[in-house]
Order: sequence, then structure tokens, then C-alpha cells
Amino acid sequence: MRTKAILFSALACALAFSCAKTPESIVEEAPEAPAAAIEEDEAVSEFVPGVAYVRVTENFSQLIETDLSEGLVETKSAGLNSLFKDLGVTSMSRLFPDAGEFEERTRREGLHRWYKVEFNQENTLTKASASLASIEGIEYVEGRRKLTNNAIFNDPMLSNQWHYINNSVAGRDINVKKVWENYTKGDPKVIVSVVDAGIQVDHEDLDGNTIAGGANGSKNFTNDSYVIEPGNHGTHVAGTIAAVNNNGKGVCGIAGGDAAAGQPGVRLMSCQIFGGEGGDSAAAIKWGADHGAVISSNSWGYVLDLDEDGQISPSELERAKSMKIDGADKAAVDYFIKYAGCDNSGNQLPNSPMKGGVVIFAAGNDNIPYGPPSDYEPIISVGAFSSEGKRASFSNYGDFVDIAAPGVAIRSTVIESGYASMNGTSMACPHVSGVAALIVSYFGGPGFTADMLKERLIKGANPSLLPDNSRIGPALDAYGSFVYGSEDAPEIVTEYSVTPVSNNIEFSWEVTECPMSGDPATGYVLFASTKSLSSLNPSNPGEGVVIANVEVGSKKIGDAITGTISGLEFETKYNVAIAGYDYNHSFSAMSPVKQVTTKANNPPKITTDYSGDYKVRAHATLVVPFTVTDPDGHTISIKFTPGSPACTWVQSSSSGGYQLTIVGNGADPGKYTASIEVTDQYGLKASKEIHYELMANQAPKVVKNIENMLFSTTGEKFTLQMDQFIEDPDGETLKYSISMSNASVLNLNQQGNTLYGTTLDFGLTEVKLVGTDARGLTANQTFKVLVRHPEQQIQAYPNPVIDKLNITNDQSDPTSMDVLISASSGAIVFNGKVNAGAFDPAVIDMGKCAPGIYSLKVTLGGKETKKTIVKK
Amino acid sequence: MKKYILVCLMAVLFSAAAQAQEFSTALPFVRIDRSAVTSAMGGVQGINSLYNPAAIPFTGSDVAISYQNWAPKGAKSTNLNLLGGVKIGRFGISATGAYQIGTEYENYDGAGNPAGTFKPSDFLVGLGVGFAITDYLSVGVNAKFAGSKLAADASYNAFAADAFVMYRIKGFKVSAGVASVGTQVKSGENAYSLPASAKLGLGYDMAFGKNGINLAADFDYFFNGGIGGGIGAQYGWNDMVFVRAGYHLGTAKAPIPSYASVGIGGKFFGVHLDVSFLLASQTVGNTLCIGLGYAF
Repeated sequence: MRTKAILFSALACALAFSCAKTPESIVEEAPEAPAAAIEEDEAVSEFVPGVAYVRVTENFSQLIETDLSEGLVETKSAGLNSLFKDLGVTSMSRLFPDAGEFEERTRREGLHRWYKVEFNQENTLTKASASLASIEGIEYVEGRRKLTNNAIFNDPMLSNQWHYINNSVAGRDINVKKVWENYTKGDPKVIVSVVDAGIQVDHEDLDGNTIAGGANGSKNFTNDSYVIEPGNHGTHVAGTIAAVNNNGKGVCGIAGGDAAAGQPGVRLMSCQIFGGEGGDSAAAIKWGADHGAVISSNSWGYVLDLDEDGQISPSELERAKSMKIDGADKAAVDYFIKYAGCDNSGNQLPNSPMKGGVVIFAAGNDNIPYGPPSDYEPIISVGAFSSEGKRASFSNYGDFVDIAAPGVAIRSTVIESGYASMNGTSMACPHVSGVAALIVSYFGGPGFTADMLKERLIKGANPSLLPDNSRIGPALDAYGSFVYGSEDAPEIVTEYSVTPVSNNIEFSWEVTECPMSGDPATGYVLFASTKSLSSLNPSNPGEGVVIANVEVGSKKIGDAITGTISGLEFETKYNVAIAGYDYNHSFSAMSPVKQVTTKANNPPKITTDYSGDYKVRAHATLVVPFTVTDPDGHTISIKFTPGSPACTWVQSSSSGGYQLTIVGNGADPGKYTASIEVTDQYGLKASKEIHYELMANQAPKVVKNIENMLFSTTGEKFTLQMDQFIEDPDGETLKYSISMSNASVLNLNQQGNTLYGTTLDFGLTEVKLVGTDARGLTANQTFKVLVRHPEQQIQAYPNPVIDKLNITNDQSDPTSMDVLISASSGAIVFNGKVNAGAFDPAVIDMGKCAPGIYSLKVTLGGKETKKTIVKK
Repeated sequence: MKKYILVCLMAVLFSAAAQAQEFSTALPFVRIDRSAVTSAMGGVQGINSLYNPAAIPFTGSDVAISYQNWAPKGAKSTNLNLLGGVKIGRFGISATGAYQIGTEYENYDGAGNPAGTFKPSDFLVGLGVGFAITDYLSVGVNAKFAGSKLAADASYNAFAADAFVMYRIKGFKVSAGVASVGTQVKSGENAYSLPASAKLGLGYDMAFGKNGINLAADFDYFFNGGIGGGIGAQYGWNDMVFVRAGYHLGTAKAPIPSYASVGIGGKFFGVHLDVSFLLASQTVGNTLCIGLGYAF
């Protein structure tokens, strides 16, 4: 084991550090080790085999990015290609994929240069990292660390079971982890009868903790048989109580044992009362008491919504108020409490973990202050709360509710070896049953009674987790129930330091131990008073003593811990001391008392590193970071007067960080003054004025005309830098837009200030380029793009013509040419010279010619071209 | 600044439209001479029985077809023609038919973008009747229907009529009348008239044994102000071999331009084959017409 640890560390170091190329360090070859040793090393590595992360240089990124983005493992880097073959690389792709609209900032931060390389696992990480690091262009290599969710069990859905371990808000759960870790995970000597729909006793995540149907086991009361018909509700309840833990499957149960350690959990007896015509609940409850169960879990109640319209009407509410458990159910509950775990005389059976039983009921889901039959006093009535730490909206409430447990989004088992989340006090009830089962598992035995269990459950619960107006009792606290009644006050804090900061006093000390449990103290109370503390009772410090509570959290014994008492008088001498406490608030002895004199108040500070001016052009935005702090740590308030709508002040993510933003087009041009005034909680102020100027905007202008373009083939390309033709006098980067009269002739693609054009077809199009500045002022110009067929020297249009006939040629500049137009009969209607070019047509008015076929003959440069023209 | 002024001036120059001559004559092709005989003689039609039904009673029957490669220097067309006149006692019946296949052209929109192709065509059909009132005096009329298919959405049609009076004494012939008087062609808000004219025809036939000489002249006054006319001569040997020549005059407003013409012909047992060729014209020069007919 020691050898493994050493090798493991060596590999980790080699991967994490030796592969980083820095000027000071050269990639070190990992020390050669026997093959067997390497394999052993890899087997216990903290890194995932066959995967490495690399960071490449910008140049190298440009070289390989296009190829790799197409899924290739063949790039323009010969060295990399060779290495790919050696390592058996199966893929190399960006670790941070193209982020679309956020790609720009992704690249700005260099995250596009990180790649994930997957290679044949037969190659060790050591070899792979060394090989990768040897490639010119790869500047850093690291392995992919194995991740854990810190779960105590390996059940994959435990991370979804917030009700056991709340990863979002620590502590907002049933606090069962420390019980699992330090006390018990459930014991099969405890039987919980689940009076409900049938349990799927062979569920993959329940099997082993269930009792099959039989004369001394589970029973179906809907048909008086021992054949259990599984139902989702009963199976879900059962899973919460005792789904098998640490079996690598599904969910965890509260008292589900530890399969990996060979420890079964508590046993679940299904007393099926739902299904078919329904069963006798009273008989089902009694059955548990007569067949070994000491805990009866009942996630059911009486129907209060009599008309089944989904809501409780006033009359139904009155009925609920008066409805009480009586008759058979009451007799059965009383019987269970009295005789569970006992013989006929009421004496605890020798093999029973508890004398008497507890009957636990769901309070009901009608959101009313009644809940029969759970409001029967001997019953433990359970309300429901959510992961937000609030009473569930549906939960019944009132003084009859003894305890609250999670009842929203509860993940557990359902039939057909499935899993699902459900809501209801039906889900809260088995949490209490499960914790009760844990308590009996640990504390149960001769002399342990149902009353002891009930006291631990309810008095060990957490009264402060839920809001005071919840009215569903204290929150179930498994650990609290286990340590209930103990007095394990932590050891005294003998050494500590105190530092006055303004009117605050900062304490620093080390976490002390609760000697009985060996746990760290749960918390500390800091005391400060101008009077003597020598006779102070930590539980009741009295008037004139300022206190602060510091929770230890996850710190361990001996860890440094700090705390602060705030809000003291300035420049005043105080006596201070510390006392620790355990989970049950048993206080340690008071620490030695020290004397500290607080300091004077200091004003807040407004600072910035920006030293430039505050003149903002219309298109620009000036962002100036500020830091606003109070040297004393006092609460501050900030009053910001912007001066104009162009100026804003927002808090940034960094501590004490703010951003003053001035948007150039946010208001009319002119000079303005913004002011920042910061006041601490004692009224001490600091202020700063910002004089800024929004500069006048100038419209964009055409600085150069775009010449018409003449092409003779399709597919020809051209590029225009638009900012060379329309500029903004303010230096602003304009927003350019393009429109065309004939999109079939030309394809235009705009990228930034560059316009890319490709001729598509023969014809003429007029392109309009518009440049727009931040204030919406524009400048525009148009140019023509003509794509002429190379064999078409002369073009006449429109044809047919109604009046004006345009004649162009293939000359860029106007050129003289002879034109002869004759009618179909041969009569000449035009004969003369005209000037025309590709973009400057000669226009011949044929408006006075009769409809008919005409001939156009053009002689240009000695070449004669004849065309048929039709006049309409 | 000078450069700016120059640019503006050039822009004005180039943007000004040249005006084509007013040519308001609709369906001018109705005046094309389609006979290889008359076209070789300067297009003189006034006394010819193929055009003037009043002449049929004095001349006899003649039916001909011709192929004509019209105006290869101008608005070239390929013309297939039928001309005929049949004498029945004192009556003469004539028929005319022509189909002209124009040159395919490419359509362009107003911006110069291509928009397909189209092959235009013209047609002409007509019937005539002549009647000899006396042995010296006759009258005749033609009724014609002509049309042009210029584009997929542009067709134009018109009715036309000719009317002639003819007097003959010995070898001298004279006719007078009107030609191509008819309906107008409308295009948009404009109306265009057919190439109507007042027509005078003269002819004189001489014979010297087996030699024969025919002289003819035409004069047209077109109602649009144009003037046209032609003179032609034919020499015939033994009524079997013919040589022809002529000249046609057309002013600017006349539908048919000026040209010179030559031609030859042969006739055997009434069947005659004739060829004409036009020259000395920028547009209709090189026009070739080959006709095959039967005179009886």
C-alpha cells in the first residue's frame, strides 16, 4: 500500500507539473518503472486513463483547428499525426467547444486552445503526457482527474436525494449522513410494517431488506392472502425507509444497511391495504405488532375531499375538523403501541429491540389544519417540507403535527424495479419511520421503549430549520435524535487572539474537541462586554453582553477558525471571551477573558486605477472600474447620481467592485457631472464627483466612390474594404449594410468591414452600401456590377422595347459606335453615331416607331453586331 | 471643380436619348414584293395581276409560290409566299398568302438582365376579285388580313384592302387605285396606320418577233407622306427566257427603302421559274427570291 501511494504521488506530480512548459523547466521524463508497477500505479491513479487535456499555442491552434473541427485525426502537423499513431489517438477535440455568441470571449480568454485527447488506454498517462508535451506547439498537458460527489454510498441516485444530503443548501435535509458515518445504517433486528400499497419485495434495490409474504411475514389485506401485489406508493415508501444502500443500484434508504459491507438494513413488512376492494387498515396495523414490527409506517389517511373535486369545501373542512380516529383503527393503533415487541402480558420479548411500538402517520395533503387519523395524540403525525426549507404547499398543518420531514421531489423506488420522484406527506412519513428504525437499530434492545424512541425523534428534531410559522413541528434531524440528551461540551478554548478593527473585534482560535464523541465542537459563541465577564453564563449571558455565533461547519479539530463581533462602541474598552458548544448546545467553560479597546470609525473609500479623461465619443462606451470599501468592514450604502441617462453605476462580481459606465450616445452631447456618495452604517461619508463629456456626433461620409465593376464570367470574386469608401469622422467603426437590385447576379457576403462578392449570373445589379453610426446617422453610395457574356459585345435592352432602347457595349469608358436600326420592311428608322459604354448606355427613343420587328446593327471597332429588336 | 463640371456635362450627354426617326407605319411587311418577277423589276406591282386583280382579266391566269430570304442585311426574315390569279371569263380571282419567320431574339428586362428568347413571325392572307367592264377597262379589289406575333404577350393584327381601276389599250396599261387601306394597329395609347398609299401603275409591252420587252413603272404616295415608286424592264426571248432589271425608290417615310434589282426567269409549257436579287440597299440588299409558277 505504501508502495502504491508513492507511485501514485509520483505519477500525479509528473502529470500535473512536469508537463507544464515554462521557461524555467523542461519536460521531465517520467521515471521508468517496471511494467507491472506502472499498471499497478495506473490502477490507483487519480486520473482517468486514456484521456489527457492539452493546451496548445495560438499558432498551433490555427494550424490544427480546422482539421480537428471536422473530426479528423489527421492534421497539418506531421509531428502530431505521428504521435496520434503511436498513442492510438481516437479523437482530439476542443475541450471548450465553439460557444456561438460567446465564442469571441472564449477565444479572448484562450480557452479555444484547450483540447481533449483520447488515446488507447494501453498507453500509460505518463507516456502519453510526455509524448504530447514533446510536440512543438503543445505547451501544457494534464490528466483528467477522477471526480467524486463525496457520497457515502455508491448508489448512483444518492446525489438526487436532497432529502438525505442536500448538496445545494447544506443542512437543509434530515442530517442522516453523520448517523450513517458514526452510528448505524440500519439493523435487520428492526421490522417496520408498511401499511400501504404492496411493496415490490423483489425490487432490485429492496430485495434483501424485505419480508416476503407468509404467515409470519407480509400480508395482503385486500384479499386476505400472502401474495403481495406491488404498488408504486407502497414501494416508494419502502424505498425511503430501507432501500438497499451501497449496492451500486438506484437510491439509498435511510435504514437500508450497507450491502458492500455485508450489512443488511432494517426489514420491511408489507401490510397491503390498497388495491382491489381495499383492505382493513386496522387489521393491517395489528398484524405488524403481532409479527415482529415495532414501527408502523402509515402513509395514508381518511378521505376528506368527499366530493372528489380536488379541493376542500367549507363543509368538508368542518367535517375534517370533527373527524377523529375511532373504532377499529384507534383500537389497532393503541394495540400496536402497547403490544408491539411484547408478549401477551405486555413484557418486552427477549429478541425484540423495543418494548411497545410507534405508529407514524402522514399528516395529509389537503393544506388544512386538520389531519385525521394522524391527529390522534399517540400517533406521530408527520408534515412535509421542501428543499427550500418551507412547508410544502399541500401539507396539512397544526399543533397535531409532531414532526416535519422532506416531502417534495422525493426520489425512491417504484414497481418493476423502477425509480421515481413523488410528492406528499406520504413521502415525509417514511423519513420519520426510517430514522426511527435507525434509532431502534442503534439504541434498541432490552429496556428500550417506544416512548424513548418518540422522545428522541421529536425532541432531537431541529426546531430552527423551518420558519416559525410553518406549523408542522420541528424538522426531522437524524443526528440530533442520536445525540439527543447527551452532554458533550467541547473543551475550553485556552488560547485565542483578538484584533480590534474599528468597532469590530476579530477573534482567532482553534477548533476544540467534544471529548465524549471525539467530534469537533458544533459552534462557538463570542462574547464582548464593557462589564466583567467572570461570572457569565454562556447559556444566558444577560443584558449588556454583545455576542456572535460562529458555526464550525466542516472544520476539524485543531483547524484555525475566526469570528467577529461587530457593532460595538468606538474607542471603548471591552472584555471578551469565547465558549464552545456541542450539537445539543452544551457549553464549554468560558475561555480566559481578554481586554480589547475598539478603534475609531474610518470613512469609506472610493478608489479607481483609471487616470484618463472622461470624454466619450458618441460611438464609444467608457467603463471605469471602481472599488468602494469600508476599511472597518462596516455596511455601506451608495448613492449614485448619474448626471445623465448615459451614465450608470453597477456592482461587479468582485468584492467591493463597481463599474461606472458612460455610453457615448446615451444622452445629448454635453458636459455632465456624476456623483458617488458612500455612507457607512454610522453615517460617515465619502464622495467623489466625475465630470464627463459626451462628445458631439458627426455623420458618416463617403470618402471615395466605388467604381462600377465589369465582369465577363460567373464565379469571379472581388473584395471591398467598405471602411475605405464610407468613414466616420469620429473614428467610429460603422455598421455597414448592403442591398442589391438583382440578387441573382451577385452573391455578397459581409464579414466585418470587408465585403466579399462573387458573380453568379450574367446581368446587371446595382449595389447600395450604407454606413450607419451609433446614433443612426448614415452615408451611402451605390455602384453597379455588370456581368457580361464575353461573346456579347453589344447589348440592347429592354427587348421588346416600348420607348427607350439602351445600347451598351463591352467598353469600360464610353466609345463611339455606328448604329443602324431598320424595320422589317427594310425602312431605316435610325442611322447615326452614338457614344456608349458598359455602364453608360446609348439611349435611342423608339417611342414613335410602330410595333414590329426591327433590326439593330452596331459597328464598333470595325466589328459589326446585328440584333433583332422588337418594338411593342 | 473643372473635373466636376466635366463629369456632369458628360452625364447629360450620355443620358440624352437619340431620337429614332418616326416610323409610324404598322405592319409594313404587307408592302414587301413577294414575286420573283416583279421584285426583279424594281417592285412594280401596279399593273401586275399577282397584286392587282383588275389586271387578271387582261392577262390570264398565273399561280406562283416563292421562297424569299428577305433583308439579310436588316431585319432578316425567311418568307414563304403564295401568289395567284385565275381568269374566269371577264372575272379574275386572286389569292395571296405569306408567312414570315423572323430571327430569334433574346429578351432583356429594363436593367439588361436576360429573360429568355422569342422567335417573331408575320403572316398575310388575302383574296381579290377583278372584273373587266369592257375590253379596255377593268376594276379589282383585294381584301387582306395581316398580323405579327412579336412576343409572347404581343400580337398585332389588321384588315387591309386594295382597289384598282385599270385601262388597257394595245400594249399600254395604266392602273390607279389605293393600296393597303385598312384598320389601325393599337399599342398602348398609340394607334398606327397601315402603309396605305394612292397608287399609279404604268406598263408598256412590245414584241419584235421572238423578242419581247415589257416596261413598267409604279408610283405610290403614302398617306404618311412617304413616296415610293419603281421602274422595271423585262426582256423575253420566245416567251421562254427572261432577263429583268429595275430600281425601286423609297423615301424615308416609305415602308420599302430604295434598292436596285435584277432577275432572270425561264418558262416552259406555262411553268416558270424565276429568280430575283436585290442590291444597293443597306437593309434589303442581297435579298434573294426564288419563285416557281404556272401560267395558263
